[in-house]
Amino acid sequence: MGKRSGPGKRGKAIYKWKKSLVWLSFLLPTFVCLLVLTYIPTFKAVNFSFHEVSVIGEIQRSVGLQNYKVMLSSSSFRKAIGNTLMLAVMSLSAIPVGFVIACGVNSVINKKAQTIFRLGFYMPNIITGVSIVLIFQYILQVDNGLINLALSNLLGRKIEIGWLSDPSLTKVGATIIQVWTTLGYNMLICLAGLQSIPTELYEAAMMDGGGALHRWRYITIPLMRNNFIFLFITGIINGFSRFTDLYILSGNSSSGKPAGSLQTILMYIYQYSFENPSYGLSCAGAVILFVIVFTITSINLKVTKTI
Amino acid sequence: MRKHIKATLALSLAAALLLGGCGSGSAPAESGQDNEPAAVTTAADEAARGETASSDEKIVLRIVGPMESESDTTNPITKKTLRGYYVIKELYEAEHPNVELELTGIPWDSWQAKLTTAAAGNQVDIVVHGASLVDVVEDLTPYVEKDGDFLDELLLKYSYRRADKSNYTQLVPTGIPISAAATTLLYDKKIFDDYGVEYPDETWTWEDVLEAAQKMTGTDPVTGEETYGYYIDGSSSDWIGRSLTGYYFSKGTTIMEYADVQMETKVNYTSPEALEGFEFVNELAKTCPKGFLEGRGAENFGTESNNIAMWYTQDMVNIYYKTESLGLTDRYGYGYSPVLETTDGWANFTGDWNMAIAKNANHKEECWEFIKWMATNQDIADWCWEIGKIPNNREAIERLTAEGIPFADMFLNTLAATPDEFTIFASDYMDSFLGSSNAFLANGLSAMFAGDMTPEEAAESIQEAFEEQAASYQ
Amino acid sequence: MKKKKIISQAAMITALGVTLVVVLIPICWAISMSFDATTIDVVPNPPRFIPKEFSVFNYKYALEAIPIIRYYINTLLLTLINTCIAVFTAMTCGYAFSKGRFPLKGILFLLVLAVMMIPFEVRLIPLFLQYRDWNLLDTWWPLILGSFAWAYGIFLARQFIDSIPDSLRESASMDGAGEWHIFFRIILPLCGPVIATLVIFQVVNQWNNFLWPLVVVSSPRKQVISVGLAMFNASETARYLGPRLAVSVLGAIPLMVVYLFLQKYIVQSVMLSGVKE
Repeated sequence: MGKRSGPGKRGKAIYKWKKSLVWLSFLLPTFVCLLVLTYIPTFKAVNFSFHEVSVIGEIQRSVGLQNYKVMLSSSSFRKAIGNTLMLAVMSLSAIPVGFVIACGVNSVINKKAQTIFRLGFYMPNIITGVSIVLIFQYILQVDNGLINLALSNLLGRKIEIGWLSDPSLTKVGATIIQVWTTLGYNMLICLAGLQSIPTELYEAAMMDGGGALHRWRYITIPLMRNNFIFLFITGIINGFSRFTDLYILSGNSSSGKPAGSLQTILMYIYQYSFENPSYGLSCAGAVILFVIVFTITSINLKVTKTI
Repeated sequence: MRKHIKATLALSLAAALLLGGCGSGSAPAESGQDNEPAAVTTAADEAARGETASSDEKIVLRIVGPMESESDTTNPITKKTLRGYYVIKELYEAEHPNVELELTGIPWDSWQAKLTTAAAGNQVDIVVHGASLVDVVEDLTPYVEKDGDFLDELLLKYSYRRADKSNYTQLVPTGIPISAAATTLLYDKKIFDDYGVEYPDETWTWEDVLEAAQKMTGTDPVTGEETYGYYIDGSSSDWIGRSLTGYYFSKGTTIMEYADVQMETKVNYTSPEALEGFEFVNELAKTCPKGFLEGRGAENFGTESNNIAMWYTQDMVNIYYKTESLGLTDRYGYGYSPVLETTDGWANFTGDWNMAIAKNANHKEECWEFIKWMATNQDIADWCWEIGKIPNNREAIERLTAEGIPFADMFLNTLAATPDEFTIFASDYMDSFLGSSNAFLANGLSAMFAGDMTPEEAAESIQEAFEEQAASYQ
Repeated sequence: MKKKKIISQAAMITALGVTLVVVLIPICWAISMSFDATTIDVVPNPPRFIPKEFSVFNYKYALEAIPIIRYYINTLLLTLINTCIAVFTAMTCGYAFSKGRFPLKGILFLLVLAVMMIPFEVRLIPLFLQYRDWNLLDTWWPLILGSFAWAYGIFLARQFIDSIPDSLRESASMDGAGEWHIFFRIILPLCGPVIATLVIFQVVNQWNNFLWPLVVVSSPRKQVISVGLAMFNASETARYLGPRLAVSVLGAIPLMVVYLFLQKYIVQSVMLSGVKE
């Protein structure tokens, strides 16, 4: 396409039109996929949620808001919401752990040592989630598990805590696994944040006679705010998609064994989609999940944009 | 860089099409182990051959469902080689050259939903374990009426299930069992001897079991080791639930109130009789080893160092193999399940490995022939026995238990006492296919076992779960 | 003064070192137990970190019990295909949204962003039924077609390409180069860091992908490794400690190998992605 001499108005319009087509060709496969595989199914899901749908996937009859009513009044669904929130909040304890380790690693002067620590702490994050759960099912065993044995030796009496079998403690067990996996990631993000704090600030504080703890409290933590918020929001959002490890801990089912204590919203939806099919209900649950996540993401966008 | 990208994309897409796109194809034999070609004996179904199509065109039967391993495996304890399910294909195709079998084993996860979807979508001819998928499998009554003589050779006649959701009070035969399972009260004679407790016999009730279990939980007077009286496999929702349902079975407690529409079926877990069950099971759980809620604690069962006295389970063949390989067959006994107090027989969870014909199947006649062959063929019976299942075939059992298998008599008597049309999965005290019933029972019971709920609370929570489920299916 | 610093450094390194060892204990334990022949069914108590009887029996058994080689190959292929598609389309869309000028640009980009806010699970059922109607269940197509629209990747790509000066593009355009030409010859070569980041994220995501393959793929022959491992967990033989740990180790090896070779880039990408938010 060469330059035209003296383009008329029409010529220019054609040129622009052709240019737009070229740009759109960059987007074509993506948008076809988006339309067919994302938007249409999403609308279908919303449609399903207002109907009773057979196991084969055919719409039987319209039921209005009934699916939603049933979902929201179902005690197990509300329990699932509660579980999800609790697990998400508990997994946030990885943030201070990661932060403290990051502070430690940051203060190490020897480059080699620092690299070793960076790589070492991040390693758990790189191991396939499924493998981690298989291993931890042994470590958190009620008898002979490494943790219980260690505690028994430390405290001098036999400790047999059912980290994964006592319904009131399973969330702690699941959180131990989660924190172990993600502390490396949190550490790296905090490390990046720490390393971007200009050293002049510290030097100025030292000039003014501030001790290490003082500097930490008044310089480090406030300037890490962005990173903390990022980790906080992504932690909560990831909490809502949590499925794999809890599924395996429940014995390859979405029931949240034992006693439904580990059942998250997503697992509840899965249960009503595949283990006990009632597609209208599960789509209603999915829409409710969407509303919750959408709200949180909107808050996220708002908060990060104002910074 | 452009060239590289294009080439890589092209190659990748080609690879994807080759490997992913083609869904069919026979199973490649995985391991390098050489399998002995099974001897083709003349099976007792010459008649069957006459009915198959005589044309050159091959009939393809697609058999889908949860099955054991596709390829050979070795049991790590007994070191025996277990053949994969390819033997079915080899044996059948050798006798029926114009039929080709396509076997696909799927995992147990969400198997009902996956199989239902596949069968509804015309992708399956024979559904393994399909008896409970009443919506998508054939009612076998007309088949049996026409050609049901072979059923006399079987121990269990049919797999009965409740009819579809709008006709729930009616039982229909939807599957033919290929292997039969029964529960037994496994016991360790040594522990019984150490404590001076008498061995279980065919008159024992659940209370007898509890009494013995309580006596044998503590320190063994002879060895000084810690022993436990009983074991419940806490990792399986089925077996947690059965500890309770077994009690109801014996006592004849009515829990289910069936209605024509499936989801109008009511349950009653809060009656005094039902509550009795919860309290009983709570006591029983106290005699189990600590790890039982996580499905552990019984790894040593069948070995020298076993510390559990009794175990109500279905796994008799595999335990027998284990004890055989360790030379301990004399030490372990296979008792009768606790006796039924309101009628004849024992509290036996007669499970089975059944096959059903999909409603949308092609070649239904050939499917029926295949199922008949599976249930009566002696080589298949041998294979079942090898992988730990008891074949549902009188002749096979007599042959295989000729050398004095300790549980043979108990097994045959137990099954003989089971009425023809009985099915545990659709009885007065249990319906495993009523929504998430297994999950509800397991949830309530495991909370109770862990001490988080009292028996009353557990019963109420289970009742509530069922009622909510029924309400949600308006 | 210097002495104080040396002591405090030593203390810090020791503290971190001890923490690191505690954190890595599960991995060491699992590896050592998996090579131990005596751990077939019983968990050793007191726990050992060195195999009592070194043997590879557990691995032999694991390789026999589940078709792990098959799972590896499947996962590798899927990862390769999906990474190529996802990264390439992310870059093309990123370029178009960054430098392009065409009608409805703003709205189209919003549509892409909106996807990030819709959890995948919302469309799980209809998507599943749709693939069933197209008869594509139990094939790899459902696992591949989704890669054409990777919202997060598009977002990152656009952000990065924004930082490439327009002048480069304009001078090429003046010389009569078409947009695709500019894309391949000028833009892509400059995008090394973001391409690396996107590739790493895709690879890790693909390897850990669980729910969708679980739902869509039923035959073990086509299954990916994460689901394959979980299936093993449910089988009878998973009671045995040794094989189970061997299986876990086998499942974790490929990513570990990738990690060991590319640690620097991986760690860098993670840190970059956090800051750029």
